[in-house]
Amino acid sequence: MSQTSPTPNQPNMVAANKVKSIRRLDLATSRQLMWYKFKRHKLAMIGTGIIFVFLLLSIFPEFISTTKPQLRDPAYSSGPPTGIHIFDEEWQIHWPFIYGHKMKRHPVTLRKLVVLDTDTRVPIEFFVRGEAYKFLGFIPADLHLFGTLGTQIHLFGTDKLGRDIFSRTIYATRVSMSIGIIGVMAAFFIGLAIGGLAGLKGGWVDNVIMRLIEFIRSIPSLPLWLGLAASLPREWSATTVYVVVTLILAALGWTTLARRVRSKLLTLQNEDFIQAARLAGCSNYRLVTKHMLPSFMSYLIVDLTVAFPYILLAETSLSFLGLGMREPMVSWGVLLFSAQNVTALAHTPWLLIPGGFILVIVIAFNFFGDGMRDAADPYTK
Amino acid sequence: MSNLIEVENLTVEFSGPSKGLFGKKGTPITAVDDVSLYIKKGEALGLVGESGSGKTTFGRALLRLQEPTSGQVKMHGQSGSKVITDLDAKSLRKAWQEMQMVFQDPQSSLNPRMTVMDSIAESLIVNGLAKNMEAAKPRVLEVAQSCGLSVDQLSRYPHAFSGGQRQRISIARALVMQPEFIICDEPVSALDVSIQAQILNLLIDQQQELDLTLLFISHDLIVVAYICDRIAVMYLGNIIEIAPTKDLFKLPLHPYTEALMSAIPSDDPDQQLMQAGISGEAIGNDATRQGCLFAPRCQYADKDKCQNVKPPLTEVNNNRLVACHYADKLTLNGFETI
Amino acid sequence: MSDDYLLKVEDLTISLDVDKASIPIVEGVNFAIKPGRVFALVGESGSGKTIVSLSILRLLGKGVRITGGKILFKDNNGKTVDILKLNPKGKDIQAIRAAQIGMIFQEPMSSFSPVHTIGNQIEEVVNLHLDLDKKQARQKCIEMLGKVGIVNPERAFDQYPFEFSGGMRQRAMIARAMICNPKLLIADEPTTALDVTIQAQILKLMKNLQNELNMANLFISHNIGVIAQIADDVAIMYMGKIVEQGPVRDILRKPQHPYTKGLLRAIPHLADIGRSRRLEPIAGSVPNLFERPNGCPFAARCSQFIENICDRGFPEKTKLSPDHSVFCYAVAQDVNGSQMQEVVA
Repeated sequence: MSQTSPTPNQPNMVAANKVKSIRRLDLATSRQLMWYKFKRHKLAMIGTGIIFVFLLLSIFPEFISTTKPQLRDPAYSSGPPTGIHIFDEEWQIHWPFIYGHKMKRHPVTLRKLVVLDTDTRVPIEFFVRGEAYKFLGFIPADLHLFGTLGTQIHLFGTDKLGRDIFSRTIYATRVSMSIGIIGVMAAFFIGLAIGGLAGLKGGWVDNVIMRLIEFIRSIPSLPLWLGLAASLPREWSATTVYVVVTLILAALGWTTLARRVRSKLLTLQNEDFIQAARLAGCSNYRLVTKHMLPSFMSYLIVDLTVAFPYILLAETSLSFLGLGMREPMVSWGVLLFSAQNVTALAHTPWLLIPGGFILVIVIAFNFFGDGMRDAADPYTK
Repeated sequence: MSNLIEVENLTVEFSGPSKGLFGKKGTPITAVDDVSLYIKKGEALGLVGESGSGKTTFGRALLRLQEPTSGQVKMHGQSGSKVITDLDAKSLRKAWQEMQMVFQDPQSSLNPRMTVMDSIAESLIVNGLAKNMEAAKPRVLEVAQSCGLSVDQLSRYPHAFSGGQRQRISIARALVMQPEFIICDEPVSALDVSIQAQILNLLIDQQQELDLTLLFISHDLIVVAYICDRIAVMYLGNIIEIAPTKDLFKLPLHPYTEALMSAIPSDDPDQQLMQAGISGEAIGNDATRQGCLFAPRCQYADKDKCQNVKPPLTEVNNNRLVACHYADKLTLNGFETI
Repeated sequence: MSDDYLLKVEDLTISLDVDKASIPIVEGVNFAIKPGRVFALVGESGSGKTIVSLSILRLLGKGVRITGGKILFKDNNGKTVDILKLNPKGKDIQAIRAAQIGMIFQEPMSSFSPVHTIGNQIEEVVNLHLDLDKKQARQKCIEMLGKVGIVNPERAFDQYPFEFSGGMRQRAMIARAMICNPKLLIADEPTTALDVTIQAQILKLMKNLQNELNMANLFISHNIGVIAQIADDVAIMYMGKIVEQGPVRDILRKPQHPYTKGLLRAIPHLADIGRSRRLEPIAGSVPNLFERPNGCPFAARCSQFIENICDRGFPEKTKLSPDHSVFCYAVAQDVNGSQMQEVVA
């Protein structure tokens, strides 16, 4: 009469495995829980990978690029991206190589034209010695990830002055990414400090800060940037401009974060576990640092990942308008600046390639931010 | 028996919705309305009321988790008498070592980012009774065990525990400093029936063993009756009746207490539901209200006195405190069999 | 069981999809609701009582799948429909919802849209299911609001949910659920969010309406007192299974299943006040969803646990009377001990 359970055995096995993983979760810290949750978000993982690659690019641009951003190849000005070939004219297979090139003038318009020289084959080599540079800024080196000996390779073509777009883009990655990161970090600390002050002090302090934030947010951002950036003296060096532009962007980006910090602090103060910690005798300092901050740090990080693309795009727009970074400092915006006129676009469309980088990193950050948002509160299922 | 807690004229007001462009403060809402009571040493006092009666606010105001608008709270503990409402922040933190609280929602009353061990040990460490986790451990293990937690689970995070276990953790955390007075704010209302009994038993056992003084806040009259020696009934911020448990159930003196008792659905299917009916629902309390706050719902209210004069909490018959003009004239129904 | 039913649930099994696993949360549930009777599903959180009620209207959320069984409903035309065969988004189920089976939810706060008047939201149901013109529809709604005890229903019709108190909102929800005179009303913990005095009012109202309209009622609650007051028949659920069912007086006065007994002992009783302070809890807690035992789900907490029997499989039904049945090896052994032992040997 003993009836067997209607549950088939298979799901029970799966359930048993589930139990094991649950036991593991019991001991998991909130950070581990977040990681488990984040890992399940495929797009976020892809975004993380892309961000990682971009970080590598911005740390080692000297090694990855083939030449220096300001170096000219007069024989290949306004040249298209170099084609990489495996087969030669006779359809014979070779190690990947590029053809040499010559400069000619158009017989009628007299415009300079780059003509491929199919007789010379230059093989692509890895870890070649090339332009000397200082690795990480202090170790002298001349090794490059890849390159050619003899004829220069221009993976993304060259601009009017014959500068290699590929190398320039890689170097620009460092400038643009660092503006994003430093800008976001500065915004983060300003936001944390001011939002924290408003949320913890309350009263008139809170009122004044909130009105200030509303005021800043009600200013149309583009004209303000323009105004601020245009007021930078022309004689400032590229580095100074870089620092100041970053600060300008940060000074305008902190408001969202400050608001988030304040509202989180206000809601947290009424949470039972904060009240319980107060009763346990925690000082205000401990309440904030040990109980409150860790509870909303993850939300702040989400906000940061969302803020990053904005700062990046802001820098790009400024430089694109010629008001941000200047040569010899190259950022993605500076590179796009040279792709402004129609003739340039018609004859040298490869100048737009840096724009593709912006697209990719912004999307990657959005994916990453999505995953972070899901993982930010690991305790809801 | 001497009094451990004395509350005198405690009032808590919340600023009402502001009116007008320039934020003129509206009439403040009175959550706790001039409440005076005492809790004897070793006693369990129940505080019963429906939602919005101000019972939770009252509990928090006792500990000054919610600052009272006016009034005094005195505590006559082993370390001497003090006026809780006059303490500065530092002395208040010290006073909290003697008075603790167990919260309603076991989901939100524990920091999800701290292990159970850390949560229980925290007050030992921040109050300087233990230098570090190692020193705090023996006491934590002791109190955890007495609350029915298994020692090998203490390195887990709260999310690994069921609601009932979390409530045990909360109780352990409240007990770790060996307080004299504990406020339990609806400690079982978020739990399943079969778990409720476990937690209530734990509270009863701990109270007897440690000679704790308890303020047990709940909306559930029967649960309170099980735990408490005396019961105070709260309606819109006012204590309307306070009496020893048995006396209250045998013979309620306030019409609201009667209504509250008759509204308890009996678990006997043949017993009729709700003989003494009250209609309508409670309306908020503010300074503009006149007369007895319960009058609009009261079936015994008259049109004159009850509407215009607020009855004070006064002694009638044999040491019973009740706030009703007609307490000595009405004959109300309780549960005589008790 | 006789054929005299309005709704019959047969072998209902519902699973929850978690990652790759599929975990049964309701298993082999059988019950029948007779016309005009109040049938109560009783259980603690996680017992699956709400899931069962939602599956009757095909309102289950994402990831919750009905994996087997039948829900037979005798509709207004006298036909028997298997609700589980209907398309959950189709016309047929929509014709049944509200018109023939009404539902009241636990939260009176979130069951009304805040941006429409109470009247509009009740009228909407009327427009969907009844053929009335605007004036008649309004009249019918106001009538219904009056019937559920709302003072000044004319005015209430044009008010917004936020202007109503919790009790009023619950009354309005009952009005909306009953406006089309459904044959069955499903009430999922309709009084849990309310104060005791309001709860008593609502229970009284539901009882009166039910008598007046001779409507069947599926009432879901964890509160034994409420069940005692309103139910005719009761099924006790534990971890997705019915462990005992029967008429309310049998269940409350002669409980047989150890879980039912434990549940009744664990709640504080009025009669015991001042006698003993301690309660008799059920040991342990409800197992995790993933740790569902193979045998009787209550085995681990049971005081009458029999080794090698209770942990093997779910017990068969033992009939104690035509209507009262229980699923428990220990009870079965008591009833016909000799038979059991033969089978085990």
